[in-house]
Amino acid sequence: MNGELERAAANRQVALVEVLDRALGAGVVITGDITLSLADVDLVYLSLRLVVGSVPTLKPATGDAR
Amino acid sequence: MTEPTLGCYVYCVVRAGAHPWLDGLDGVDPTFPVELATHDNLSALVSKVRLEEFSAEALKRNLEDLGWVERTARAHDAVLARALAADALVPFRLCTIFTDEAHVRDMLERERDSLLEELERLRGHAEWSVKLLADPRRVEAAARERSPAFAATTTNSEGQGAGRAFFERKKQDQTLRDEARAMAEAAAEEAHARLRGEAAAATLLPPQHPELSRRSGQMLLNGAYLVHRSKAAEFARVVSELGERHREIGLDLELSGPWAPYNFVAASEAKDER
Repeated sequence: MNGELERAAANRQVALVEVLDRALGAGVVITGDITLSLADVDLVYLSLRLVVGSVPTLKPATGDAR
Repeated sequence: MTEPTLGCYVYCVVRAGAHPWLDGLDGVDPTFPVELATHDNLSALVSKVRLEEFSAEALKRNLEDLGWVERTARAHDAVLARALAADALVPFRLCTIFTDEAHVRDMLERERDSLLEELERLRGHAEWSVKLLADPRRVEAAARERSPAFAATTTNSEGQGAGRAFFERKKQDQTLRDEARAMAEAAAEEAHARLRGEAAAATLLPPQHPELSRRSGQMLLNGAYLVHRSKAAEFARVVSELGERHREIGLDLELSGPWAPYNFVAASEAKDER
């Protein structure tokens, strides 16, 4: 059971996509006065679309993230 | 129009008096230390950022650069992890930037009630991620074993016309795939229901893009669970137990955490309201 917790911490270190999913896709949205909150930015950027857009279905990826 | 050269980046908000350990912690702009901006009973974790890198204009460019996004997101998350180790926190979305600390304090004043409410609710809790990945071949093999009909029919098709046998087999393959899929999805639903029962709150996230997750297999569950510190070990035990049970049918469970409660703050629902 401790082993599972240790693995969980290790998984946390490795998975970039998890960090991106959370930092970009979740968290309180409060608009700063300098930048628009990311929620307001039209996500036309490929890297963001790939991350935040995730895959809509469970079928194999076609390289088109939504 | 002369732009100020520095902005004030906000990572998260904690209760004033929570003293997260900030020594040696790099912010999203490593030139500047992470500090506390306090107003009444709330503190924001902030650091200065150069606007040549973090203005709205510059961000449009930088957000296209996955390397930049990775560095920034990891730095952001590292600050949240320190705050989480100390006390409850309300995580802010990446790249929330104000003109200066005074404006951050204004925000703390404006949002005080909802921030305090969130901190109270989240106290002692962290977010855990559980994913269930299916290896289609292993799942199909398990489905075949479970349905003796499949094993029998493959031999029965001998003696029929070659064309007919071909279509028969195709039909069977499809049925087997459907069966395997139904079995895997039922397992994912069951796992989520069980884990939700162990958590204070739970939410389903969209499955991750396979290229980015660098995982093989199909992600059938991407769950986030809010779990109290005192129940984390038990939660991990349940994940282990579910993992062992599902491994034989080609499903792997993966636990990661503890995460700041990114997916359990009320305002994160704002993305659905817009």
